Amino acid sequence: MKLLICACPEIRFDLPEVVRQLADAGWQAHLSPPICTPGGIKQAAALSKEGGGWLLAACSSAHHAGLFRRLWKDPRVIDLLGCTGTEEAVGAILLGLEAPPGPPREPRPLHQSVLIVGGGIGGCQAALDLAHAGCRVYLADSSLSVGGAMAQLDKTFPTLDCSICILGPKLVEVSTHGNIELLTYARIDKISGQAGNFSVDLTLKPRYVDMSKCVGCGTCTEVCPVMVPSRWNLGLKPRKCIRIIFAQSVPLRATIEKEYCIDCRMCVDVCDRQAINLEDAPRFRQLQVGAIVLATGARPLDPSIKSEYGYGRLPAVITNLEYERIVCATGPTQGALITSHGRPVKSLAFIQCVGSRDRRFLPYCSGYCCTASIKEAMIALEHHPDTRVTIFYNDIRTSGKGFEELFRRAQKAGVRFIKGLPGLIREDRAGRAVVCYEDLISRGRKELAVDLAVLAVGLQAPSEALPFQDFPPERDSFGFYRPRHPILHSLESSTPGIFLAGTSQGPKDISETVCQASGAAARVMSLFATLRETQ
Amino acid sequence: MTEEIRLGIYICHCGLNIAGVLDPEALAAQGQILPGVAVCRHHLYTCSEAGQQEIKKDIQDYSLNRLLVAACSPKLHEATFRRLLVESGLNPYLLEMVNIREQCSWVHSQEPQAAQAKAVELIKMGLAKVRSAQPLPERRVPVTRQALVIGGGPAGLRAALDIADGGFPVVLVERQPILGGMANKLHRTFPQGETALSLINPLMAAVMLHPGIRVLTAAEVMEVTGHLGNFQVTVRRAPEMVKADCDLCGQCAQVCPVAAPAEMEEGLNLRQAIYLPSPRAFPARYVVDLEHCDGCGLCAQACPPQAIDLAAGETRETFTVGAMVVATGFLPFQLRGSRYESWAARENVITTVALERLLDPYGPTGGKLLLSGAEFAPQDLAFILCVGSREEDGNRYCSRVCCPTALKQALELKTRFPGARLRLYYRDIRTTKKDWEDLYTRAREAGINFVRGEVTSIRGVPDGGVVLHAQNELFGVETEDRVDLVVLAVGMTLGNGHPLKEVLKLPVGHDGFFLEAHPKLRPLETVLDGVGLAGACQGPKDLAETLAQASGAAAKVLGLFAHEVLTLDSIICTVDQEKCVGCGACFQECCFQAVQMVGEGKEQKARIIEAACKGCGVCAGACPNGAVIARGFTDEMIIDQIDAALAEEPEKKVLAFCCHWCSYAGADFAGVSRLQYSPATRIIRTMCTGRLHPKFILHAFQRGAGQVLVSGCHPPGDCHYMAGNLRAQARIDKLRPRLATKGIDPARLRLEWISAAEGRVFQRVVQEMAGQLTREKKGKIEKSIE
Repeated sequence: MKLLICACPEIRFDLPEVVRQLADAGWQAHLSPPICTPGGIKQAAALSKEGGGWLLAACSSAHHAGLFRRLWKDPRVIDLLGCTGTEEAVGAILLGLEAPPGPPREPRPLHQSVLIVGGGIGGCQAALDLAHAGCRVYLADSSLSVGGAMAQLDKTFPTLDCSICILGPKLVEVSTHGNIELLTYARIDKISGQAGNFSVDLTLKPRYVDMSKCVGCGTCTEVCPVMVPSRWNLGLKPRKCIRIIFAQSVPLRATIEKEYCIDCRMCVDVCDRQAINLEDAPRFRQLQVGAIVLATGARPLDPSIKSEYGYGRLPAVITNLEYERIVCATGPTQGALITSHGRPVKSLAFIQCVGSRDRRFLPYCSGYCCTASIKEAMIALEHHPDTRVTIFYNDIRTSGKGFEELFRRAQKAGVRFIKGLPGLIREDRAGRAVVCYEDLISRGRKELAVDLAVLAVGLQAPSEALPFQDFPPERDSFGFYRPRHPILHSLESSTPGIFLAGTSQGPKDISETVCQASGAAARVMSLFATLRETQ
Repeated sequence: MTEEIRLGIYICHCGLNIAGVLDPEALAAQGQILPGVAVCRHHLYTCSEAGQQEIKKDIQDYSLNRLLVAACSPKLHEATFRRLLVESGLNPYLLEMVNIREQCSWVHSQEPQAAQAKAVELIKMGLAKVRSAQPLPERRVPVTRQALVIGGGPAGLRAALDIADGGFPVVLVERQPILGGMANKLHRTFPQGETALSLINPLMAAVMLHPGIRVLTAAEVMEVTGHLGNFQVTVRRAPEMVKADCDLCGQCAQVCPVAAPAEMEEGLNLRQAIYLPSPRAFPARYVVDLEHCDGCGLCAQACPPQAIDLAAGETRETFTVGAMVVATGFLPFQLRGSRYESWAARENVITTVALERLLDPYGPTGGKLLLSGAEFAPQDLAFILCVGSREEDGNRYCSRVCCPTALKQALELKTRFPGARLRLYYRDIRTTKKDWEDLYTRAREAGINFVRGEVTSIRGVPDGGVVLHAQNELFGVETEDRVDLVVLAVGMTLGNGHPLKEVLKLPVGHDGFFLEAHPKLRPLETVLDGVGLAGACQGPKDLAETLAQASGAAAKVLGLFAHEVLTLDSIICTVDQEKCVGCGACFQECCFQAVQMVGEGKEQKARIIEAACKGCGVCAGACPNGAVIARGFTDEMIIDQIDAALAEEPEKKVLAFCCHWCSYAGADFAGVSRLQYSPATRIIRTMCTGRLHPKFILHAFQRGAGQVLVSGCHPPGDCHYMAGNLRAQARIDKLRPRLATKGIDPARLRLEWISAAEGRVFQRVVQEMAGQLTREKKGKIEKSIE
């Protein structure tokens, strides 16, 4: 076994000392200039021509991008970048040198299919890209419909495009693509195996409606006598116990929420397609896939823990997602911007950084909220041009493409921006929200009474963990999936074969999510090609 | 046509969505007796499995050869029914969808009788169109499965690797003599502070050694013709004066008498006219700087392997690719010519890019902070953010990476000079990524000061320092601040990609960066099929985003290359060679270079390049002779639709021509939102308003139309065919005076831009036009009374 050590500039410990210690242990090491530079390649190419087995002490495959494969046939690599000092490096190298060669790799079955967990815009985009490229795709979502959070938004920034109008066709494309199988209302029970050969158990929860018979006409909903708060409308509006989750949902099918069902069978009687089956049972599936894309998304922080803002106590304080539902034409108020008492909203305040950039809650910036609030302010002005809108901010972070223009438009349109985050929100006698704040620019403690105070809440990692059996992908201290490398491999998890798209690895806006989802698709295809090549 | 038309009409209840307002049974009864109709039925849900089975059976039983489905918008279920036709052995284009839901029952729910009458007319209009429907040939484009990547920076490297790893050959073209792009100038990256070398060099090396990637450096894309699946690319390569035999001995540079500033080092030091661009980048070879070389030939004599040939000339080569990724990156904001020019002229005012070079141990000063050759231990340092970004007159956008870059550099300087006092003049600190905020926190903890306010001017002081004059926003005071070194955090601008605007006809947004096909859902594609975008040429981005986007762009290429042949939509244009007089109007108006003029002089004829044609019909709208056939939307079809729409009481009608993508969708959206408007409206859908020939509008008025609306996507950017809407506008502007001469009040013709989301605007516009009708009617009655 011959040994080559790469003098990577990232290595912070004394490499010549490592060489010396190895020499003491009886191993002759070649210390090469960084292998990824012209000088390094020249030397490495010359050495590899000598033949024999080589051990490379360099960087992990996360860095070297398959470079070593081009210089040596099947080299063994020790990751020096992962070592903290000379001792650890010498130990790791000696272990590598003295370890017996592993057993020849057995050919494993290679599945060219992919499971995508999460059917939001990220999951859908990754599914479409993979399906177009000929991969078989399973798209699993815990919800009744694909579409995720984007389906709940009224408009998207910076163009103020109607959200569901641009998302809807994509969802239809997902549902009609021959290579994609939709698994909605699904729960993942177990994920085991490794890159190229994962086995996934999942449960399809019962809908009590035969998917093959239901045509989504909505007649059952009309007759159902049971009213239930609608989670999809964030509890702002009741819905029926049997319902289609939203008008553009994919699949467009009714579902009974059995916990609330009173077994009156009115829906059974009215359905002329006999689609309702109150005896429906969960179904189990096992999938064999070669790769998994985690597009599980993030969830908004519950602002009631920031108790000084009174969310949950004061009816005039709502979250930005609730606001999106209220201003949306398909929302609980058919798009009328009114308070919970039904009064028109004449003044509005947006409070930024609720939970974000706050050591008590989320120490990071959630990225999307500044531009989202500005968009929401513009929507309010579209509804009633004389609405008084104030945005309380810390820094305005409109740094995406076209975002700064939107910020300027809002300033011109009369949206007031106040630097200073409120310390308290209380209620006045008229039930309005009184925002108590310190204006950091014009100075002084002030109060502003508004009809509605909208909290721009931060995004946090989903709390539930997926049931990985073998090598669960690492998560960071906030619970987001940790990419294999923050710059080079932001689309891959720490576990080979498991990829990341969208907010599962940190807050992102829609277009970043879409880019990442396509990127993750490319990496899946690369993985399959590499596995095919190396088998 | 000798073929007998055998029509099947299917009227959908859509539950109560249609049947709640209209009476489908009565519609079916009326449909049955129309000429050519073999069968007419109504069904609760035509799109359901049962509904489709019924139609399939009818197609067999009645030998139907045209189908009309009166139901929801074609945008919803046209694809479903086209599939049904194919499954029944019919050509999918022998179908017409009549929109009696979004554009009838939903928008006239208060006036069921008028809605019913309108539905009958809509069905008649549909019949008029589908009668002349012809089977359209399938359009299949073979795909050359080789990709072109333009730009050899991080984005181009990543995209090339992903495509090549996917198994397809790639040609990578880079303008500079070395790969790596701007990453070569970077010392450390944020947020973790790894060296750029350890991140980007392996990518570069892997690309160089990849058997599937051909790297052409010092090369430029000069010409691109062709279309998705088959682009002919011509590349010009700068003279190869130093051959591959160069062994980097450097003797040539030692004898070279000419010195010039080194671009790679931001001009911080000098190099010879023959030089090694970077000791670590690929390809590793000396190059000759033609601008400065005086051709003395000393280098050629000195070269031991005789690798230098100063007589070499530039070369050109042409190759074919099926798709391409544009990854031309960015250039730092240029201070020259800006309001910062006088600041930058000072020695101790540098940019963040120059500071990267100064901090880099491989840089011009070996990583020492030297200014004009002298080592320098600054006591007071200031960073000024937003230089060339967020400007009132200038680049208005935020460059996104300058805040974290400045924080990263400030932290490094603070480590090197713990005693130094550092401050950052900022407007907003924009550390928007999850891992970036920590940089800001660490900087504050390290004792770096943050001053919110704009630096208005700087001046030198005798002790060699500079004084910054600033507005402190938070304290509301003006301050003067003496510092030893000023670092300007410069923004990003579209870099070397500029020529591609011309070569590829690639659209550019108002910020100067290349425009994506859709800002949210198609950020990696352009309006040109087969041309993708990656990295900072689309807008400011950090390294992680750039690499993710590059992989994404590669996925689009891999998706295309998964097919040997692509089947494209059959709705395109052809030219009737008999009628064509070779005037070239279509050639001039086509936005996609899809029209070719063939032949000379009087024999000249237009011909459509089918694979490049997008089917907008702009050429057909321009043709004075009706020689262009816009498949699926022929002159005959449109005229027949107009006649059917205006057969009864034309003066009481608002005839609306709506483009498929925006305005027709906007009308649908009015329906989805249940916005009520006058049932006098009759919509004729075309792919683009640019399809409309003025003769259609004249014909409508001659038939007595009360009001005519032409509605398309908002200019400039919304048109799905680049500028079809502007073509329509130009034609209508020309038409108006002609209307007046024919005794038609030009006010009866309106042109409106209505987007897919502007249901309310659609409602308002047609309501205003319908109001105009009643006013005119009143006026006429009053006149007749007089």
